[in-house]
Amino acid sequence: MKEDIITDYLLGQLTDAEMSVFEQQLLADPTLRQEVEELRSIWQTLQSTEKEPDTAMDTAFYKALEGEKKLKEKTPSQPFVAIQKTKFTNLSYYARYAAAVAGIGVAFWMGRQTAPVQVEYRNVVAQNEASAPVTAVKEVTIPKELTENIATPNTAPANMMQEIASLRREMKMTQELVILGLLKDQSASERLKGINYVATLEQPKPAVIEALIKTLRSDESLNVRLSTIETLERFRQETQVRTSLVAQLEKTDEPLEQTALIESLVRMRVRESLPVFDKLQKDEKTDEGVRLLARNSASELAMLTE
Amino acid sequence: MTDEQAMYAVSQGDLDKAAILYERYKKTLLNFFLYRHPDRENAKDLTQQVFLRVLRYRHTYREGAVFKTWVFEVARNVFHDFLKQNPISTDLTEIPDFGESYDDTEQQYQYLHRALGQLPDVYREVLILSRFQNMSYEQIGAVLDLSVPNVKVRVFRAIQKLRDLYLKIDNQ
Repeated sequence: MKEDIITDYLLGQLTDAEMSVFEQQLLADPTLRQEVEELRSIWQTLQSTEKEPDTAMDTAFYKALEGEKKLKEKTPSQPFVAIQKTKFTNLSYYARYAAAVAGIGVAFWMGRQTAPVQVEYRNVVAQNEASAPVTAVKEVTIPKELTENIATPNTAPANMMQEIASLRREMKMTQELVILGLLKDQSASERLKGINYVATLEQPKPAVIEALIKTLRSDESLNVRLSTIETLERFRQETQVRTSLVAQLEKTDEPLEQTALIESLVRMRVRESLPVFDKLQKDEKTDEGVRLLARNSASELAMLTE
Repeated sequence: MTDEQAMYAVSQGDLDKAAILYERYKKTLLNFFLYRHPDRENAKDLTQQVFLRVLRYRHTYREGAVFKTWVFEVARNVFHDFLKQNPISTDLTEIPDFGESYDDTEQQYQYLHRALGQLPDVYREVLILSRFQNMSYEQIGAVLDLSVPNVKVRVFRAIQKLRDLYLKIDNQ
């Protein structure tokens, strides 16, 4: 096969001598010529549709560079590597371990609980069968009359769409009720399940967000709080989410939670968290790895939000 | 000055040399992200994050390490973190919104994104490695655990498959 030679040709890897031989083959074989021409065209399209960076990107980079230089001047002898390799690595070690444990729980519930809910939507809409197993998810109960209405084959399309919309609203409402119930459950794994349900919602109601914030403030399980931080970050546009994450950073003294909160707040670009970062980096009681992270994150956040 | 010399200088505190690396890699990285996720603002933001990490973790760069490999490792980590926070918006088949006034190039770009989105992962990965990371066959082989002849065959099939998908979308 000529596959490897065609690849060399497209990627410009043929020597002059090889190119000459290959071009002779192209001339002699119209089918090969057409194939190669089409592939060359798509390869070029791939290159020609590349985007150019704009000046805003350049400005942001050079501003960040200046900021980093200023930071370096302020702390010329800071043993950054040494600290990072000792305390912070230890912290990362624990973080990875905890993340792995939390990850198993998350993966389990995402697989078991989240996917079926999405599948149920497809069943109802695509099949339009009275027997569609809408109630197969144990916590979600759909009123029987709604499924029966949708099942009627002769229903006018407009009515059908209204009913489907109505069913969707009903499903969403039920999901939210289930979530609110799960977040109050005594078992941490059930609360994790509730948090993972929230992660599947695009625009949860304020009551759900409030319940998450309450979980963040008062849940006794660190793993639950860590998952809550991750989920809340997805609703970063909500002012109360941003405020509550800053407040939690001020309150907690758990290094893992502090780390997760600092990283989230930087990604969310919450400038209001800068005073708390400052306080943490000066607080001698705070874990040294967290202090270092707070210091570096403060400069990064300041640069990003200037 | 090679990439490695510039990065070594950065790691030793000569931060101005980071500008050389930024100018050399900004376009490649921007497109590296764009072909994984079609939102341009997002790709710009992720590119910015890569260079922030290069500056922030400059001390972890080992002298002699291939800068290109290192910076794309950083880029993959940045994208991985992005996916963790944005699990819903990772659908590569999404069509980016260009508004009312897109031209032929933009249309090609859209079609190509849809085709890339439908391309099996093994093919998309090899295209990204060869096109955007500009890796040699040997380097791609090391990453994907393939022999050099097999890398070439896979690149060929990836382009062939991309062509088929693109033409199919174009004809719809």
